[in-house]
Amino acid sequence: VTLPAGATTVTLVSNSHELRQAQSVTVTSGGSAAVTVRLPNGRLSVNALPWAEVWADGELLGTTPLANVPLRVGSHEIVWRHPTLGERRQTVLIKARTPARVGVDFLR
Amino acid sequence: MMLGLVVAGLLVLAPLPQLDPAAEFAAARALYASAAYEDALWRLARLSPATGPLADEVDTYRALCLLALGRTDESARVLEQIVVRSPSYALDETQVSPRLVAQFREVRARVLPFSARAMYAIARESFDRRQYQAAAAQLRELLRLIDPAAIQEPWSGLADLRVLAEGFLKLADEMAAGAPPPAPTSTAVMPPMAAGVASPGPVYSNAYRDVVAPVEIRRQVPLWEPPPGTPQGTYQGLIEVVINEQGRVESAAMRKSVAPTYDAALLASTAEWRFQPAVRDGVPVKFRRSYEVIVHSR
Repeated sequence: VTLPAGATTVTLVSNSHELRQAQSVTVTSGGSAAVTVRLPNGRLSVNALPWAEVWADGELLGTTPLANVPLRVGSHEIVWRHPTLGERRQTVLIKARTPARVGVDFLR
Repeated sequence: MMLGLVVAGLLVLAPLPQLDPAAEFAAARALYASAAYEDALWRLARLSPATGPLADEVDTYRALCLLALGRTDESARVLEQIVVRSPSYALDETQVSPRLVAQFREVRARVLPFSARAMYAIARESFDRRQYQAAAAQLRELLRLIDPAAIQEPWSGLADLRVLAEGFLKLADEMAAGAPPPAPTSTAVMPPMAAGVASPGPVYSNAYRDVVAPVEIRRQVPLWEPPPGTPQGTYQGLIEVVINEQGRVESAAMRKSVAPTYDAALLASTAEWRFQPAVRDGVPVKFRRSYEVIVHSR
């Protein structure tokens, strides 16, 4: 993105992620500047019937039922594992404001 | 710790709209399954007055929701209520979260000794009232509960309680079958529920305007030593006593449990309560009175 030299406020907007972030950036004449986007955490509530261990992007979140687990805004691969009933996977979009809720039923 | 005791008042509630408990419970379970724990709790609370036989199941889901939300003290309290209400209740461990199973086991191990003693006290009360069939049924239920095969962690006094329960069950069965009254026994190590055997006669209450209510002379209640792990908070219950013509507590019953670890001691303490008896037409009469009990765990 070409910008006039000097200090500028860049606003990053993603409606699908309920995200709106304003950041200052200073661009020198003929130079370039990088803006690092620090995504906030949203919240995930997750469950399984009868129950399961839950992993997000390969990291163990815990055993269901789980509520309000903080996760970075964006898409995450959620995996449910039960010792005898197998495994389920689902991609979940974490938004900045609205908590995500997701449950699976191993018995169906 | 503070302890308060006040006479319970009459509370009149407006009738609730008719609910279909099974349908409401199904809706609450669906909310729980979709991880909408707050909404499920709201549904379960709405359902509570009408649960009846579903009470234990409803409370299990309430505990699951609270556990999910990190409100573990509250979930422990709910599980305590289940164990007090239904000491024999068992979770289907394949169908609920291991987190709840672990908490339920911990709560049950802590509460069961007190529940068992309270059950014994209730059975003895039935026996003392000469309700032998009821006493026998209550003692059988107690013996099932404290069957050595079903107890994971035996507690001090369990064997004695079992011997007492078996002895009184034999007596109750004999009495129910029409055997002559037994010779007086002095083997009971549990505190009696009442100062003596109930005698016949009408029992009055505040509803009778021509009866002068009893006047308290001595009414000490035991201090509560919450067992380790008891969640902090306020615990409320309701005890009902019948005060006889001599101003002694003839019978006592918990209408609402305060805490399993406190109920039996509170019931036992009523044997020492003394009143100036209620009077009707100048004659002492029996009188039924309820007390709200509030204790705090800090």
